[in-house]
Parts: sequence; C-alpha cells; structure tokens
Amino acid sequence: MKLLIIEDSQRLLRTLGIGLRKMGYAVDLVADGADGLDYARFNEYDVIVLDLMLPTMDGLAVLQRLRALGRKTHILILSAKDQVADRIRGLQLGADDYMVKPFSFDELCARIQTLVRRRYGVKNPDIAVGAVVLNTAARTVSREGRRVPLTAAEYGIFEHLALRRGRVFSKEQLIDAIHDGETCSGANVIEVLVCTLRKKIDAEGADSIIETRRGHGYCIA
Amino acid sequence: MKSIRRELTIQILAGALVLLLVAGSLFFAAIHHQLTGDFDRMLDAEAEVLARNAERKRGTIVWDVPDAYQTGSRETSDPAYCQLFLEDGTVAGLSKTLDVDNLPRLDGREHAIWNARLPDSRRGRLVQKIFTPAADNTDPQTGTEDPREQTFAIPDGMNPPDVRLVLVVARSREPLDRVLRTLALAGGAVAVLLSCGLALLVRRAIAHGLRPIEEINAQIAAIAPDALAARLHVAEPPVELAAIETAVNRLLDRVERAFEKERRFSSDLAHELRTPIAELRTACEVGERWPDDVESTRQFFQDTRAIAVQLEKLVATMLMLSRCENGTAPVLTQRFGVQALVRECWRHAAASAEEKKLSLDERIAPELAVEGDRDKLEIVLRNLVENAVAHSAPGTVVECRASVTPQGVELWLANTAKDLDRADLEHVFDRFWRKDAARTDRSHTGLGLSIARGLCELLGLRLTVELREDRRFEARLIFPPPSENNPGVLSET
Repeated sequence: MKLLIIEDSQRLLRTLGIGLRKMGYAVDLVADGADGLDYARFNEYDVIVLDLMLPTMDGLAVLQRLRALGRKTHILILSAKDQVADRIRGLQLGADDYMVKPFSFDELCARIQTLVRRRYGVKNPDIAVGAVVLNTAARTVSREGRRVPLTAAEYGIFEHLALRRGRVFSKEQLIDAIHDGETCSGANVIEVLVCTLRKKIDAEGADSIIETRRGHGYCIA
Repeated sequence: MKSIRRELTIQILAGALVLLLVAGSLFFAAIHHQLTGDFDRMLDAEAEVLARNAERKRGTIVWDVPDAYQTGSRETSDPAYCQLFLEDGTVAGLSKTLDVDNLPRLDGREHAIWNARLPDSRRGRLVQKIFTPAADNTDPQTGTEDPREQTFAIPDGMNPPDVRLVLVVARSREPLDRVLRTLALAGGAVAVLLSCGLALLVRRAIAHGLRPIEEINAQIAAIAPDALAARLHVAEPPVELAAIETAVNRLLDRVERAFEKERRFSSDLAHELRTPIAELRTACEVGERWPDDVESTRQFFQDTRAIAVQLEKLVATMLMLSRCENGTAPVLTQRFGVQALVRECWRHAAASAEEKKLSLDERIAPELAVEGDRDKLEIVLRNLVENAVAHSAPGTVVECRASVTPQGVELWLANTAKDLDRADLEHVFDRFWRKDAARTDRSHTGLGLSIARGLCELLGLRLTVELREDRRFEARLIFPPPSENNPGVLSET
C-alpha cells in the first residue's frame, strides 16, 4: 500500500514516515502544498494524508485541484483545525475522512486501513487466501490460526496481491507499490521477498499461494 | 429592584393627587366661603328687618316679630330664633320659637356673626346687632293690638332715647351644612374618579413611552453569545433612546471585535499547541511500538527535547505578555546609549541575518542616550530586530535610524516586506498573527510584536508600524520627552 503524507511539520512528517513504513506502507513525505499536488498527480497512492495549513498551497486547494483533475485517491485530512465548519468544508470538498491533531497513531492507521479497504471494496478486514488469513486492520498474517511473522515489505507484497486477486503484477509494479522515494530496490529484491514470503506462508508440499506467471510477474489466483 | 414604570407611576400619581387635593380644597373653601357668606348676608338682612321692627314708644320698646319667628316646631321644621336684650342682658323680647330658652350673645360686639348651639341642640348660625331703636311718636290705635308685637317697658332710670338694644338672630345652619357636605362628597367622588382615570392614563402613557426601552431590552436579551454581529434597531426611536441605541451599538461593535480577537487568540493558541502535542504523541506512540529501532528512538528523543524547548519558549513568552498586559512587570530605570543597545540586539540576530545575507544600515549618534528600563527595552528592540530579520527578503538591508524630535527620541527600523499588505498592519500586534497562515516556521511564536507593544505600553513608549511607499515595513519607537509622570526619557550627552 502506498501513502502520501503532506504535512508542513517536519518532525511530525518524519515520525509518521517512520511509523507508517514500519506498518508496511510505502510512504512518500512532502512538506508543502504545491509539491504535494505534484506527487499526487504523477503517482498512484492508496491514501493521501493531507494537512490543511500548508506553505505555498493550502491543503483545501490541493484537495480541490486533485478532485478537479479527476483523481479518486482517498484523502484523509489531518489538521489542527478542529471547528465543525472546517471539517464540513473539508469533507464537502471531497475528503474521505478528517482527523484533528493531536491524534492517536493507532487510530490514524485504522482510518488509513479503512480507506484502503474501501478503495478495494472490502468490508471484512480478514482476507482469506486458502488457509492463510490476512488481517488488514492488525496488518498480520496467520496460517491455520498461528501467526506468521512477516517483515513490512513481505506483508506489503502479500497484501498488495491479496487485495487484487487474479491480477498479475510485474516486479516493477510491486517495487512501485511497496517502496517509496526513500527506499531503493531492484527486481531481484522482489524475487527474494517473494521467495521468503512463500516459505513462510505456504504449506509444505502444496502449491504456492503466490503464482509466478513467467514473463509477466506474480499473482494470487 | 427599582422599576422606572413603578417609580414614574407613583411619582406622577402622587403629584397629581396632591394637586387634585389642593385644587379641590381651594375650590371647596371658595364654595364654603361663598355659601356661608350668602347665608350670613341673609341672616344679617333678617336681623336688619327685626331691628327696624323694634321701636321706642313712650317709655316702652315695641318689637314686631314676624310670623316666621313665632311658629315652627323644633323637631319637625327648621325654626328661626331671635331675641332682644338690653345692653345689660335684660331680655326685652324673644321669638316664640325660643319658648323659655335664651340665645347666647357676645358682650360689647356691635355686630358679630358666629356659630353656636341652638336651643334645639342643632348647630346654628347667629348674628348679633346692637342698635338704638327708632322712636315712634304716633298715637297708638286702640283695640287693634297686633299679636306679633311684644312690648317691653324701659326700666326706670334709663333715659329712653339712650336705650340701646342687642338683637340676636339665629337660624340652624343644617341646610348650609347639608349643601356643603353634599359638595364635599361630590368633590371627593370626583377626585376618586379622576384619580382612577388618571392612574389608568398615566399607566398607559408610561407603558407607551417605555415601549422603545422594552423593545431595546428584548433585542439585547435576544443577542446570543455566538451572534454578536446583531445590532439594535428601534423603529423611530425617541431622541433620548436614539443616543442609547447608538451607544449600545457602538459597545456591541467593540465587544464583537474584542470577542473575535479573543476567539482568534484561543484558536491560535490551541493551534500553536495542537501541532507540537501531535508531534510529541506520535513520537511517543511510534517509539513505544518499535522500541528496538534505536536510530528512530534517538531521533524521537531529539524531537521531544526540541518540542519541549519550543513549548517552554511559548509559555515564557505568554507569561511575559501577560505580565506586560497586567502591568505587573517591575520597571527599573537607568540611563543608556541607544546605539549600543541597537548593536547588541543586532548581534543577537546576527546568525539569522548572516544566513539570509542581511546587513544593518544603522545611523544613530553615539551620544544619543535615553532613560528607561534597559532590559525591557532590549526585549522590545530584540523583538523588532528579529521580526525585521525574519521577514526581510534575502540579501536586503535593514535600516535603523534614531533622532531627537519635538515628540521625543524617535527610533525606527525598516525592512523589506514583499508579502505584507496595508490591511495586515492592524493585525501585526495581534497575538499569534502570522502572514503565513500555514505557520510553517515554528521558530517564531507570532508573539514578538505583541510583547513589544505590551512592554512599550508598560514603559510609556509609543510603538507604531507602517508600510512605506517603497514597500518597506517600518516599526517606529517613540520615547516621549521628559515629564513628571514619565521619567523614561531622552537626553543627548
């Protein structure tokens, strides 16, 4: 899952980046409105977390421009403005959610996850793939009731494929989905990640949950 | 609680009743006087006739008493009484109505009218006349004695021509009293009716007159705390209330502005605190969840310290501002040079100025000195300098001048202010106001100019700002000339 955080407080931006990356998200961090708009226009994100009082371009203006451009990315406003009128205005201009600072990091993650599920039309946070269950709320994977420890990158790949079952993704697409501007990786990294992922989630002797389509990429059928 | 309506009603009614009472009393007194006068004149006329009816005939007094004094029952009618005395009190004649009783008389009074009890116990009016009877020298007609005539022999030893008689005529004054009583009752009834009518009229008139006040009261009561934009509007207000309406509307203007300022301040303060608190909370929660990430945890600690320093600065600044506004900060006066102080303040901001490649163009006479609280003036100047450095475009010059003028010592600082509008000038002293709505630069609290002005007010200085034609922002500090009340002053050494 790929997120864009547009927030002018450098400290908060950095902390959110650390926390959300550890949660398995690919996160792009931007500190001003105009740059944020450019990032949102030219990249595909699952959720954008948007502050309102931003330098160079106000958050509401960014929101309006994105909606005017037809971008349907889910946007969560994260602002110190707590007035009801501010919330109504943000939601009316096309935001999908509104959170007031200070906030709980867990709640922010839960709301982001809700927006992700909404994006893929999934109501239940548990996604079953054979005997493996992926919980998008807790961001955990279990097999036959037992927790399977995954790294953030492994979880990212598995979630990306599980939410889009039947679709084939190339290594480049997976790199783009799970990595952000701060982390660099090549196709061989994806191969290694898929390999370790298979070892952790597949049953011994059974076919792998993650199929390899030669010359195309990977998918979960 | 006092009520204008009640007070006015009571006062007007009390005044009207007193006037009514006085007017009624005067009217009644006049009527009483007139009727009593008429009664007395009638009684006097009767006495005159009765006196003329008394004649001296050959050593006797012959008195012709009319029938009206001879008949009539004391119980059933209103009898008239008359009695004739010699001056020594000897009864010379009396009306039959008196029977065996006597009328009272007043010794030595030629003519008198007074009230007294009549023989029938009723209140009566009496008139007394002392007169000398006329002499009748005609021969008496024998065999034709008039039964109304009473004859009294003049006692021996009295010279008949010198005989003086005292006539007392009396009538019951009950008819007069009845009329007076009826008049008094009628007057009282009229007074009561008038009072009631007056009370109703006064009440209605006052209610009508106070209606605009009630309207204003209702309009004021309807103004909710969150609807301070409301203003009073009374249709065709009376002159007295038009002034009150205008004054209240002006007060509402001021209240609305002050309320809006406080609301903005609260909102700004909340915003100033929300972001650092969000930073703190997120750092704690993320650090707590992944405690093994030593590098991130170290970063969180650094952030936490920076946030604590930022909040400490905010609290200290708010405290200073509060002390300035309350006037509780102590003022210590001393003499110091202006140039040295300005240079010291610039040195304090030198690092930031160097970063933006700013230079100071300072032209202040080294000998120019002022007296005042140097430490507080340093805070003022440091805030002005920091403000100039923070908002100057990179590579520009900050000007600083000081001179002695008739208004006192004037010190001004000017810097470029590309984004500032004239409309912004009225907000630059507002707490937390920043031109940049994003407030991205968290190294400034947005309180510097508020503190500068608060301190200036405390020190008796004037701080003004303007946007010059060359688009430079100028902050001007004026030290007033010496006065008894303001020792913080200038001099050139």
